Amino acid sequence: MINKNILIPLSLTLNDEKSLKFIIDRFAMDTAVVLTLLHAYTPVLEIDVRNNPIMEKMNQNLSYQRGLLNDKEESLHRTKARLLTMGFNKAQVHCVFIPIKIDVAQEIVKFAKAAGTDLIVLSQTPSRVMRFFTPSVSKKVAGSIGKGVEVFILT
Amino acid sequence: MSSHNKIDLDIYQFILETVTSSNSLDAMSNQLIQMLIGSMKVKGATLFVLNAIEGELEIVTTQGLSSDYVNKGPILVDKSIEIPSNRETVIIPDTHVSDQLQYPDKAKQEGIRSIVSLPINVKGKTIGALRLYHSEVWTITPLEKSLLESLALNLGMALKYFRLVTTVKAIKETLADVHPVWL
Repeated sequence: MINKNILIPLSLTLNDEKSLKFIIDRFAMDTAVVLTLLHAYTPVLEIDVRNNPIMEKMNQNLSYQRGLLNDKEESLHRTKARLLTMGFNKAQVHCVFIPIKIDVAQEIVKFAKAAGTDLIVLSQTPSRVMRFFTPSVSKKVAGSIGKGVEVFILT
Repeated sequence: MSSHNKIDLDIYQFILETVTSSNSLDAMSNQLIQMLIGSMKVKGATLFVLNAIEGELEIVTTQGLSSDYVNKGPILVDKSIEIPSNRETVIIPDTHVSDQLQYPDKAKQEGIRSIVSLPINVKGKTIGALRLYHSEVWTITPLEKSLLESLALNLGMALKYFRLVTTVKAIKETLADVHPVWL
């Protein structure tokens, strides 16, 4: 049986509902798909505190920030748990929680190519103004993923 | 410098260097929010930009707040930019005794005890907002207020810069697609 590898990048916001609903409606009970839920997070700053009281003060509270990342990872696993109640089995759904090194779109493309992804499902953010300040992630992914990978952008 | 100030000139300068040296809005806003939270030891912070068509504030970056709380709804009374609370600095030293919150119970559950909301203005027009949330009662000092308002002014210039850069890049990409066709 040939599995279809589907990558679902999630922002862990309400906007993810479009992707999840699409996946559930289209692929629930289909044992030939493998789903990867991906969230690329902004890593907490690493600060060099050498002889710098400002940096020391900042670094103390950033430890708390690192702890908050656990909340996001748990949110990703809760999404997986939800898919398991919707007709997918454990072996079909995987979670990937990766730090952003360059930007979100590049991390998605890099992962998709490395993982042999067949299909990427993205929810286009409904924000009408952010696209004027920063390029659209879905557009960048679609433009740079290359041949052989389908990209569904849900509006 | 008073030790009671959450932000002082040294921290302000350090944060400003980060704001003015970033290459993308994502990087700048994430680093800014992390630094504000880290240096001021507040619970969380959110950077908004104004959707002028809808008249609402949209989140650019938020940290320190749970996903459930961020997705629940507006933090202050209304997201609408029309109301004064989004056009001027609003200080809520204690959420337990304030009537400005739309979801006071949610704020309580989230552990938010005080909020400072700063408008981001460029040439007199509000284009966004910066909000800080703290888990303790916070009576902001005049120095803290001045430095944060000054930071908000600089954020306005940074947002305007990123807006222009994105536009120029989009035009460049369009020209790159069209140009070879005619040659």
